[in-house]
Amino acid sequence: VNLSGKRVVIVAGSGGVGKTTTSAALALGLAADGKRVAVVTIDPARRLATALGLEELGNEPHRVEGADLAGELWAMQLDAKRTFDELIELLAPNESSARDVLGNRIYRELSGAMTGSQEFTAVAKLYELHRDPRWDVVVLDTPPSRNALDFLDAPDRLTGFLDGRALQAILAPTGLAARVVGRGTGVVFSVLSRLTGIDLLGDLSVFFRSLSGLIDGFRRRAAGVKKLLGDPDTTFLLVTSPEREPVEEAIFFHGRLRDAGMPFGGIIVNRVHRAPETDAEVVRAELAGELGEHLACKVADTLRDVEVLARRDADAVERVKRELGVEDPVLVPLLDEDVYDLEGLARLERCLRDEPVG
Amino acid sequence: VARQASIIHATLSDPDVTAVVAVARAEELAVTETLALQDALRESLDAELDAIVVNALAPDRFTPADARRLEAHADAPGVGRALAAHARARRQRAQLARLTRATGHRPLRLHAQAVATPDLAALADELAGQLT
Repeated sequence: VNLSGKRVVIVAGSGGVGKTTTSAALALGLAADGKRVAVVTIDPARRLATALGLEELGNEPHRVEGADLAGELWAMQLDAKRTFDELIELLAPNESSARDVLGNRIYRELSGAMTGSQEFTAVAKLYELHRDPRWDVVVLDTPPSRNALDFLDAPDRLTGFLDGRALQAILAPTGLAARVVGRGTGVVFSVLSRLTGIDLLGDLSVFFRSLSGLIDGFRRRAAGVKKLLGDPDTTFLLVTSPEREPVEEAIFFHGRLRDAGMPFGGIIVNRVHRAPETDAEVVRAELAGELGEHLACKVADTLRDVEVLARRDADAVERVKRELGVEDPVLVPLLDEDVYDLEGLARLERCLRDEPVG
Repeated sequence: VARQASIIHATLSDPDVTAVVAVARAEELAVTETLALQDALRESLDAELDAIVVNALAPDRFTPADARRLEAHADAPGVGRALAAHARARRQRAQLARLTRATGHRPLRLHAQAVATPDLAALADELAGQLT
């Protein structure tokens, strides 16, 4: 994978294909080359934390110690809720309107449950880290969303929502929010409020009023994020395993990248079975004398299994080449050990750097 | 909204209506996630996993005695591959045992060979054979 000159590397693909580990290995490689690298993951299972031997990842990158690197490796796990809060503080026109939103009950409920905003939060954080002079390159492991594509649409969706008729209807000078506030609390709501102690209507109107002050900031940020995603210094790397569904998803995602004019940097196929060097039947005949027929047959059966899987994987790689028009996908062989530490990441990184295997 | 949400919650947490089946590979991280899923289910829905399917298992062909004999012939053709497969199968077995211990479930197993050919009927047979 050639990442020279890139400042933002976005690693995309289905869940369970080794995306997080691949992101970490790429970041490690860049840091080994002397770059100051921040790798961001959103994985709730803290896989990267495990892989990097970090006890805790916060919402700010932590320096990863223990690796002898020419550059610096930093890692963080994105806390979507906190990042969103920070974004509101940053984009609010003043402190008091930030406080109004953050302290608002509706906001607290919504933002806690807003998994849909994870994609936007991720790219918003990416944008922030990209502009931070402490790092040369930011590697983003994309959210474990079922549809990795949500992430491309995130800026547009947010802008669409902000410009949308529903929100405008609420926020307009004669809109719902104004009417609610103007009328004061209706009888029903005041009874509710007395009974439950929750001033729902008050919370709602404060929420929408404060939100209106943030819209311009959000819109500008969404535009900035969109521009960054299409920047020539940005690259999208696809990661897949040779299995059918992840390959289909990668092909689809590649098409979307192309349609959106986003920069595609290459594809990495993980866990590729190498075909056996020797034919199973030949091996059986050779081993039968020394190991006995029974054990020789077991070895031959194992080789036949590997042959089947290697054929499947070779077909998948061919399909990837054909569909993506890529000559040289990076093939990472099925490793003999799980990658869970810096040493394992370094081994994986060598596979990523080397000429295609198999 | 509250009414809809409570209907959804009731549907999901009613064991007569909803069964939750976790699917995992026999790998450390996947098992860790399955255990986290079990905890989250208990916490948020007061529900339990009904079954666990462990996918893409490597065939477990070699006994420890086989492995020792193979190690003595590690340079012979094909033996390195056999030993690597054996090591993988052992790692998977250890994770399977960990999953079994921590959940009290005996996971249903699907083998890599079956998954390589996307033959749903064969997969269904393999699962059905374990469900009795």
